[in-house]
Amino acid sequence: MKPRMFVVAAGAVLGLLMSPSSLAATEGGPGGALAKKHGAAGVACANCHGAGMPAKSKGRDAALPRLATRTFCLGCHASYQAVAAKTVHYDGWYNPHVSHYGELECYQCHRVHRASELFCTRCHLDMKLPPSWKASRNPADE
Amino acid sequence: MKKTGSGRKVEGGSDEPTGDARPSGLSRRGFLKGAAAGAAIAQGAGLLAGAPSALAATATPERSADPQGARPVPPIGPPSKWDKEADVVVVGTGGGGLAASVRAAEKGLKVITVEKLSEPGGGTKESALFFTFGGTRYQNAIKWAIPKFPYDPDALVELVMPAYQYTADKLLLRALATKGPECVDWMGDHGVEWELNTANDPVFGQGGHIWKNSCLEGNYTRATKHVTDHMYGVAVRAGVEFLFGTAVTRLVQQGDRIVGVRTRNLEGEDFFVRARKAVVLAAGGFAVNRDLLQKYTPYANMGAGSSFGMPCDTGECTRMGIGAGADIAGLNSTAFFDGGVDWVHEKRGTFHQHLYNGSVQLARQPWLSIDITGNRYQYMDSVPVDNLFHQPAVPMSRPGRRGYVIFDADYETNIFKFKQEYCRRPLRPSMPNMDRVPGWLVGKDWREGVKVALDAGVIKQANTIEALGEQLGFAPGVLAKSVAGWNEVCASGKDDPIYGYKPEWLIPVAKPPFYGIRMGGFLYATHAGLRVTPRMQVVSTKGTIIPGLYAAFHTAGGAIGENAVSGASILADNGLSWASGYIAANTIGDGDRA
Repeated sequence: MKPRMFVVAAGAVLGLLMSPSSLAATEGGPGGALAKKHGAAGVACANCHGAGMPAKSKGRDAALPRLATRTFCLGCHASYQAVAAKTVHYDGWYNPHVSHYGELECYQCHRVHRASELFCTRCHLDMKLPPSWKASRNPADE
Repeated sequence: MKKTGSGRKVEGGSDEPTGDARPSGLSRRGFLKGAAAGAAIAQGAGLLAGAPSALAATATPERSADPQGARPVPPIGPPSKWDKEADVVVVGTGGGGLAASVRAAEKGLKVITVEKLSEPGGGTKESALFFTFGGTRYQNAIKWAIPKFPYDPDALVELVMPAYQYTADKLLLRALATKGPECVDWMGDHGVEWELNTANDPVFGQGGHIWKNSCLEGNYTRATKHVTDHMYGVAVRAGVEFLFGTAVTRLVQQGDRIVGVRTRNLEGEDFFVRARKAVVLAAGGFAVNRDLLQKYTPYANMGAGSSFGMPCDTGECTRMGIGAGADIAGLNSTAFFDGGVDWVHEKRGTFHQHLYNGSVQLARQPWLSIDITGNRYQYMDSVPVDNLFHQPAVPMSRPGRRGYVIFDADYETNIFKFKQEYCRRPLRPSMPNMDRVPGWLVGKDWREGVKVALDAGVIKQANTIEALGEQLGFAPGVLAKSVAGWNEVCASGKDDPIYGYKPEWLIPVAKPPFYGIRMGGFLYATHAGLRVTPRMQVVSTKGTIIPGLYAAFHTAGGAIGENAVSGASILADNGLSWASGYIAANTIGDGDRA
């Protein structure tokens, strides 16, 4: 069942599109995860989870479908291109939103309730991480 | 003397077949093995022998704090149930993986090929040409071979062994010398539209097989992608099953035999693929894994300012082979180009960079080139092409293992006065075949890459020489003295020939702002890797063949012997991948006989 989406104020949407200069205040920063960032921008739990809020648990329940898909997140975040425009030359030449993997699902990097992981670092071993992000591990090392 | 189309004179050489067809620009030691092995041995011996080292306990840019990047990955036992089954599991879709896939399929074997990226081509697609020293139908048609026509693989092996200081396996080289040209013809039979690169390269062109019209006007960027895309299509039509976005995480072993792989896809789901006959590791080398570099090729790890390994050379399949007991051949052997801009030193970017990035092309020109003491060093022209392998050794062996190029405000004009070719030629949107180059990967205009590097502060810029020297880390007065000396040479028009500069390269550093780039070598391939037999079976540290396990280059190693800092195999690099995958599949199809 697709979670019910409430109309989010334009200001909240703009607040969610972070510029590179505000990377210091990005998701997962001290005291906050992406969920809290959304909350601070006026997006409530039910806006994503709808009526069927999952019970609080320690980890992600693998039986639940992943919410943070491209289709879902781009319901608010305009377009993949708009997101990519915010991370141009993020690390030297490289833009994590423009790659040889095409348009990855958002959840490949962005964890909502815990520290996000930069998918690129599975192979691009020393790409820089936003504050409080973790590097993805090589699958052979997981 | 023979004039090229551009009017430059080329010493000697001839396109006409002669009894001795060796181009004068080729020195056998030159093409095949770059820097003196002596320095490498002196530097690397202590580390290779496991002697305590200042590097052991501390994290530096050259060595991560967590050396798990070099840990062997041991195989696991078979699952209770396999998710998929094949005769052959091929890991990787560069030249080695694609050739192995097609050849195994046409031998009637069921092939499943696993690729961690979302598209085929691996590192090979970034490459330019399949080089052989003769023996293909294309080369036979023009009666060209090294050392002379008709092509004789054993004569070639005898010719090259001194360049490898006799550290290479002659039987392995004989196999490559024999099967390499056969592989070119086989790919031609499968519709690869080969032509020889003679239009672009008057010295080496007869050796280089490129896709027809793919390297017009010397734009080599991603030229081999025509070939990898074509062979991928051949593989699909041959019935090979491809799994993209799927990384191999473990070899599966039963008794002493490798019987399959465990994989993980982008969804994080694990599944097991059975390999009834063989697993072929064709997953590239480890040119971006600094822990493996430190362990098996420490000289390269010290000297590399950047690496072109891209995502393909992370080395986990090498680690899996080691975990299964494989020996390593080709210790301390690697391949470099020049222009390793040192982003890591500046803490502004990653070790991996793209060879065709404009900042690299800018750095690879005959500007004033000095080391940290202010002394100049040699620059080698891009013709003949083997100089591209030699040049990196020069800054890498200087004090601090780095060189610096210094130039002034007119660089955007002056860069074209040097007429450097191949990957040194600055990319411009007007060049043919630029549609091959995605903008997200490499700027279609070389100045884009320069701008990113300038903005990041990796290319230093200052209004005075003194300020530039301070930014680059020179002792006070050193840079000013070097620039003054250089400008005197430029004014006189006469340089000490020891530096190899042509008169037209003597351009003064005069007009602010002034620029400087710190660089080491640009690492692009590792030649240390899993030891293989001439039939591409992986050999253990006990000297036995590991049943069921094969490796293609550059997961395999040893093709250029040991302690070769910057060298090329007799099939260069791209060809080494294709040919070894082809050989592996032949061996498997022939029933795995030793």
